[in-house]
Amino acid sequence: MTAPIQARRPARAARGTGRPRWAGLLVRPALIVAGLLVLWLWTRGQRLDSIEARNVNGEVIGSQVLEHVELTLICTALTIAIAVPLGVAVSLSRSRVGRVVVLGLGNLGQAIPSVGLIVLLALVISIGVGTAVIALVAYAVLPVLRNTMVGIEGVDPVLTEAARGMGLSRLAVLFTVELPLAVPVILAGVRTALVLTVASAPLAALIDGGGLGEGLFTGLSLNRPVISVTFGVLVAALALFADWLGLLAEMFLRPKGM
Amino acid sequence: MPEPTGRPGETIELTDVTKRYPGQAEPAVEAVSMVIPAGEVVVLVGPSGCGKTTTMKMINRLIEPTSGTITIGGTDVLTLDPDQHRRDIGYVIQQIGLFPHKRIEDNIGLMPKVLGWSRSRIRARVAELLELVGLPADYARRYPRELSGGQQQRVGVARALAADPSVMLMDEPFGATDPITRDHLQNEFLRLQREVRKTIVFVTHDFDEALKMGDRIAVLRPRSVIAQYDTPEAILAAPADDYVASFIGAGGQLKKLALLRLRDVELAPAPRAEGLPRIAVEATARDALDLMLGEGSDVVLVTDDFGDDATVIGSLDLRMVMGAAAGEAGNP
Repeated sequence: MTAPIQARRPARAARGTGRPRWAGLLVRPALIVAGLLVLWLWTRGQRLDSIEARNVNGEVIGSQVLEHVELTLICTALTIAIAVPLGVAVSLSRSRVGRVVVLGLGNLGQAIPSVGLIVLLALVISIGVGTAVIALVAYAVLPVLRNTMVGIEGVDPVLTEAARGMGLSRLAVLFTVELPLAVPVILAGVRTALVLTVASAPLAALIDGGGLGEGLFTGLSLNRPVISVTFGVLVAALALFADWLGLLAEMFLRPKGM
Repeated sequence: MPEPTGRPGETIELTDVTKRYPGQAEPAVEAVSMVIPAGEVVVLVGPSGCGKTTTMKMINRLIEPTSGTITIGGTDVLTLDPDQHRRDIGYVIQQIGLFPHKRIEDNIGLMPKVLGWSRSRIRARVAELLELVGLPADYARRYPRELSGGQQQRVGVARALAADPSVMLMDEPFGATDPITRDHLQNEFLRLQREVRKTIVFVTHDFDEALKMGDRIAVLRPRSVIAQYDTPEAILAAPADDYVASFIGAGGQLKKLALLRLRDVELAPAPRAEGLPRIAVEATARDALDLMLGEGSDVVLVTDDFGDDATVIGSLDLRMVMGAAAGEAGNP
């Protein structure tokens, strides 16, 4: 081969905004679009009976995707709103007890199988979107909480001492030094939580919470593989897409200079 | 001497300052009393774990003293709000601690920004400080990782000076750099200090660095007990005891010569002889001795500047070097 040897990139360009990474970023959406195209072609080739036709059509799919995305966004927003401040508070308190209790609860939320959690909460509270949101948030809080704590505790103590030594208040140190430097770790947790929520959200349909789970469970209970495959593939595509968005967020929101 | 730029230093006074940690039999710092005169560099030197850093951190209250009083310019610092108090004190540490996610200008300008300075004033201050520490103006836009260790520590010093404190605390600031860079940074810093004349508390375990940097040196025993507190010349001439003498180690007389600038030595008129070795008046008596030994000549010509075209202003012989050392010893 006579390909020119590429010179080593300086630190600036190697940080992740170079062209090769850009090209790599487009692979995922291309694969998702290709998968959906195959799904569309395949369903078009099937002879649908009346039940299948009532479920596998643009209008139903569109409204369920919308519900699913809404549910995911609400849950993720709530998860961040709960987990980040809680993680910050626990890290700053340096309380061992607080740490054990909070991580224990977070672990508990995740250790209970999500189906069990959703059905249990529906029995205790009521069926509906609200209950589904509570269950999904309980399930997704842990990764964000844990990463917030790890991210803040992972900041070099030299930096916090330098900041304290120059006269920044405890709160100012948190906002100018600790949180910005913890952003990459926190974002990794948010990305995990986002994918977890997209993938668990179909269970909301079990308790009348809406989303792509409706079509999925209809297909399963009525033994119509065309319906369940269609909605199953849609859930998978949505989860992959959410993960890709998380990746973009990690790339663009990370502090510069690192 | 030039007029100091910005706020001049203030006197720091420690009286019976003690730090006791719970659960430890011995105090970490025991009843330290010392006066650090305004505008001087005082070096705390001692072995690792002798409490020198603890003593220093009590001045900016990163560590709160258990008992005793600390005043700066007559004000009892323990009555002040700790954050407000620290804003008046520059703080430089060995690990530098530049914030990696902030550009150099934002690292230096952080405290001015917190203090509510205008953007244009901050920008002007950053440019002024970069020039003061000898860095190109365009470094303002860089991130810390794009600088070498020595350059980063210059930024660390600039950041500490940003809000124009009266006092600077420096904890082994040049400890992590290679010998050549360290020597360079030390010289730069001495030049800088002649301009800003802050009161500086400088912690190191390196006695040679203490000799070079300090207007005064406090040699510390464990628990930060002061073994001797005096000028470098006086400590070299008359170490208080064996403990202090052990710091000086071998070659005490040579170290004394290294403190003596030729400009402070009375020179003889220049002989008319050709081909004698030449040395600049900025050099030390030790440099002159080194040159004599190296060239095998017991006379050197002293010039007013470095370089070949400098003017000869006098001469120096071996006997005068020895006399200068003895004279310094008897007359600190």
